[in-house]
Amino acid sequence: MSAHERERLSAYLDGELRPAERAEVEAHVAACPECAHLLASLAAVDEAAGRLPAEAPEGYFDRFPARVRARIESEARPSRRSRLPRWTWAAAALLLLGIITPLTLRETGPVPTPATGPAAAPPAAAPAPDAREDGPAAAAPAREQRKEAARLEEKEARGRAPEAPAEPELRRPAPAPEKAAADFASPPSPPEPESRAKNEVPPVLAQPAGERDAAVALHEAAPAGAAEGRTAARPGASAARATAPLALEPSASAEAVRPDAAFRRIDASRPRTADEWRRQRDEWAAFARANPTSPLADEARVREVEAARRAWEASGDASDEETFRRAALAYLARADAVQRSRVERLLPEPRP
Amino acid sequence: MGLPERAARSSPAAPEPDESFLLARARKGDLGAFETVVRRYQRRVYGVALRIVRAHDVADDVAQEAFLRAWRSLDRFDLARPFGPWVCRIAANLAVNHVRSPRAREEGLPEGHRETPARDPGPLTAVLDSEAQEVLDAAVAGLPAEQRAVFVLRAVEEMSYEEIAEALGIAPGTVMSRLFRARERLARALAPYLGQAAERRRAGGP
Repeated sequence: MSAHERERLSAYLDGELRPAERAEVEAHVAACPECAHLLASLAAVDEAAGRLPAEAPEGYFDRFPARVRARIESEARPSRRSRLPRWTWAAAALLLLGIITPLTLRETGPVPTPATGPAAAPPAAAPAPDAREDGPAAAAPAREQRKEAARLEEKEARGRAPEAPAEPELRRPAPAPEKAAADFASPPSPPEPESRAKNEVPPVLAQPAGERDAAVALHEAAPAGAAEGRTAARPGASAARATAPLALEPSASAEAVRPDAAFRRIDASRPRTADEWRRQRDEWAAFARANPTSPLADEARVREVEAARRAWEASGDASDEETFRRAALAYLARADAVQRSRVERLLPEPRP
Repeated sequence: MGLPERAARSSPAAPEPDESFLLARARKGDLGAFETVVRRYQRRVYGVALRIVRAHDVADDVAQEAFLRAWRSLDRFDLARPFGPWVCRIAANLAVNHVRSPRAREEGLPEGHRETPARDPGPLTAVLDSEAQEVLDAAVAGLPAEQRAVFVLRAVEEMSYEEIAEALGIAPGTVMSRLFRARERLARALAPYLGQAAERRRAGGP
């Protein structure tokens, strides 16, 4: 009995043989105990396969549909939902009210019990005294809190401690005016580590020197925010996309904690137009900048070049070509570039 | 996820009317309708993912991602097709890619759907006891990811070679050979138990 014949037994079992071959195999099996035994073994294996364990933790399937829904909701922002970063509202409020205070706006930490659902209470208490008087500024954090609560619920469900910083309205504590802090009804929140700053909506209020931290946060937030566009998550609809240079996605903060999730999200987008390719290109670039030491960073850099190339192919624009070439050469110049050949292949002619 | 579920899936009938309705609503953005669909297929999708990636956290990621991608592609989905196999294919693809490399590269959603060829029922079945089941599980874990994926899709999901080929982005001939190699390995691991099972059957036992 040759390997080829044995292989046919497998295909026979699956009903994948043409009638003539099936008849042959059947006839053979009837006469050959060895093959008959093998066939029975293969069938038994299949039979048992159905009972391979597929157990999930307690309550997993109770929560799963809601988690998927929450993820869809957090990714697909209906156009009515404000996608402007919080700081624009706060800045507008400041300009209007002419208030300049060295105090950073402090937001509460995330609701530790996601079971309470949309954390409406803390955000209501949280906003800065000036922002409180501004409707949109107060409303926006509520929406963002709700979203964050959903994300946190998801993380909770995964058995991870919800991370205080994964909350978009977080502000840095101010060194100075604690008196204004007393105005806040917000519960005390743990001081947030520096690393989150770049994903937080910055306490913008263009503070004077005392608020160097805030300015730094704004600066750091810019590159991360610039590229955090969101692909359409609503089926069939061309979802409103963030095009503002500092359009920060609240989930960006959560994703800074989990680069693999950020990676997969970017990877999941399926660009078709030049615009979409450009966006993906920028997202890859931002990812690599935000996670330079991640094992995924190199892949992200290569993908940035690939997306840049596709954007150029889609548009035919000289500027896209320029961006592509620059990105390709920048990658090839890196000491830690491990996928040179992949990038070299993209260049249409030999490098100078 | 055992026999009863397999029996229910043995014939790929037309999608239930309410499923098409739910999906049509979901397509228009009705998340509640989609959530219902998710609830219907979550165990199956998770099962496919888990059996391939063999870790709960990863299977959770893959399962979520599969439904997310399905949601995003609903406008391209033919409502006349059954949703289950489609989303399972997405999950399998994601699962294999996840095992292969850290990146979950999407090779393109599978298009088209074929009816699974009618299986020859045949009297060729044997029942294994729980110890043998564990041995099988360990043997499946020992398979290379590609073989494992093909095996899971065939033995658990009962997809045709063509469907598996589409799902995993490989040629049908590759499906056949990988499947056979996987099965042979598993059968060898189970050989001692299969003898017992055959014995029991001959003796007229369970």
